[in-house]
Amino acid sequence: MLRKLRSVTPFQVMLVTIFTALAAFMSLPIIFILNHAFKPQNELFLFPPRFLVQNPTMRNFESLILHASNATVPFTRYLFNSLIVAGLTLGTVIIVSTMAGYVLAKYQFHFKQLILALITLSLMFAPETVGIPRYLIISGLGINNTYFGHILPALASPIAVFMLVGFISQIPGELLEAAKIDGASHLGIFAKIVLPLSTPAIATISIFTFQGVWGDVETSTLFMQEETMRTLAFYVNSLLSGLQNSVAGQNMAAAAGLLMFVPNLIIFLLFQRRVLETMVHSGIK
Amino acid sequence: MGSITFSHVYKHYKGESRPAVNDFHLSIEEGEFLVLVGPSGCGKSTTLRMLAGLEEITEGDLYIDEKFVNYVSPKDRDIAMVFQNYALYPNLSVYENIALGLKLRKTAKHEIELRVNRVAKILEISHLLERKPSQLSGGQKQRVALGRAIAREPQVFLMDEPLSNLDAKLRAQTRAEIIKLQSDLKRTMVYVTHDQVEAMTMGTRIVVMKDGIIQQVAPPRQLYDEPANLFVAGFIGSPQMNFLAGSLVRENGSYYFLNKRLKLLVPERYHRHFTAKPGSLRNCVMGVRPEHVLLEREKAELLEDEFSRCFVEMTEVTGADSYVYVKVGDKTVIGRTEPETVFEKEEKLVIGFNMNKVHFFDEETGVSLAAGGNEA
Repeated sequence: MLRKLRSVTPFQVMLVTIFTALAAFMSLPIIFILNHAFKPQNELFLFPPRFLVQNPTMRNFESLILHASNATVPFTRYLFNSLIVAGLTLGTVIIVSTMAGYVLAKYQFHFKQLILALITLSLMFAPETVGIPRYLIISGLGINNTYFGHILPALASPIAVFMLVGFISQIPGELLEAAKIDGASHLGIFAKIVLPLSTPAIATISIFTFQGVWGDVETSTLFMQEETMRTLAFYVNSLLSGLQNSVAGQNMAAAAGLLMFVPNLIIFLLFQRRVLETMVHSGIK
Repeated sequence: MGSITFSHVYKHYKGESRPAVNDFHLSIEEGEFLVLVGPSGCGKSTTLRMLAGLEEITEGDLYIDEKFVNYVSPKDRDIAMVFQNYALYPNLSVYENIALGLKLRKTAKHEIELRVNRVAKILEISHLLERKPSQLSGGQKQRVALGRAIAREPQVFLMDEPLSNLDAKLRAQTRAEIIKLQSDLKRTMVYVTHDQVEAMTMGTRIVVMKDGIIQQVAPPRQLYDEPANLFVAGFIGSPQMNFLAGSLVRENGSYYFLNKRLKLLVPERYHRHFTAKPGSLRNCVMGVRPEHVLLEREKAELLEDEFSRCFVEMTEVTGADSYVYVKVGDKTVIGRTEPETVFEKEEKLVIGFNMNKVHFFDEETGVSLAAGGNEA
């Protein structure tokens, strides 16, 4: 142990110090949002504002639930919609992206380079620019007010395919050939070899896909006319925008903010170890 | 079971002017240990991959057990392959790695268990069955890769440079094990390597390739003693065969090899060829292996003609032998001597050749004159 300590260079000490400070700084918003949700009304408007809550209270959540129960659609309906949409989107994005990534990384076919270029190109579009075409597609297909209308826009995820192509091309070709000789079918190779070996990359795309879908209000605003088909993010968003200039609703906003944040945190904690593996693996063959 | 026939097989890659494999025509008998050897890029791996079904055959026919298999998928060819980088499935344990091929072939569970355990015992990896490939050393990984191939009990084993990632000691040991395994299993084995020592020690027959073309197919001894051309002569044997340029002349019914420094009597076995093809009396290259170079301090009572003066450039001691690099004119010749014989640098010596063991090659085509003579 001592010998290990002695081998630490001043540069390493500096690095650790800087990164610890940076990490602490980055965690400030998380600490703030956790504390904010439990602050009583008077602390919410304290000036100068405080990070830590002094007299924690559950009142904020109570008033949120009270407010929600007065709405036309129950709060749980929004939550249910969000869970269904996030779950289904996550599942389908993983299936579609890994399959597409595998084929693009390991098979040779006509126009492969063109398809890859198109995927890269589509990364450059801001989501706002595709809002109208998306609306036309959704309404053309007649899938307004369905869960499919929520899922379809997120289904083709160029960033996920792009990442998976990069990751899967690092899997040695001999592995797949060995499986081929062992008697595995195309689907068998995909399910038995490619999928298990891609879990780090899948974990990564799961995190950002979930975050994207969970926080997304666009589909609910544009494609869902029925209130019962809208998601929690939409509800919280409209709650917040309705409260922008009001003093009374700030406590509900703080509680809702935390509610929106917690699932993201859970998903991240679940997958983070795998994500780190992605980063380690991408460096070494 | 397990015979293979290549009938004029070609492999063209898009955008390349010459074929990667050019008119590969060969029959491999059942139970044979065939080694494909050649420098990198000679098409040996491509040939093996075509046999495995991993590469398409551009032209020509391939038969396994007299069955036309050009369009048969790898899994239906009854082959197993061992790769250079082992290609073990990192997400599966050693047991599962060996068992996967059997599982995919719907072998009964107890049969799988039986076979995996038997193979593990043969290869002495029984204690590793629960581990993941990342927890194994290079040698152990190679055994697992071999085990995976053996457990399947295929008709044909294909090996693509399986030893080149191992260190020298382990390589020699595994080499011996593969030889023993092949003789026990009595299955056809096609083995690709760029290492001529591996080729010579393992193969019952060796195919030397260059630029996609078969240079010679022969058992190891014959390949060493009767190389078909300059390339094979230079590729097989370490240190390399010495090559001396010169010409062949006829004087008083005898033939001589002549260059600026040397005039050597050509042994009689070549005469037949010269009389059959008088046109071949022209410029040629004489090849002589280091062990057939004779180096003497004093002029012995040997023929004046066959000897010439040279001086020592450097000496390499390998332990069992010494190799002396001597300068004959502007050409360096390597000779093997007893390790006890010590020559000083710059020392003047007399060089001679064991003329019964030298080879003559046509200077233009590189083809052995002896080979041509035998055909004639």
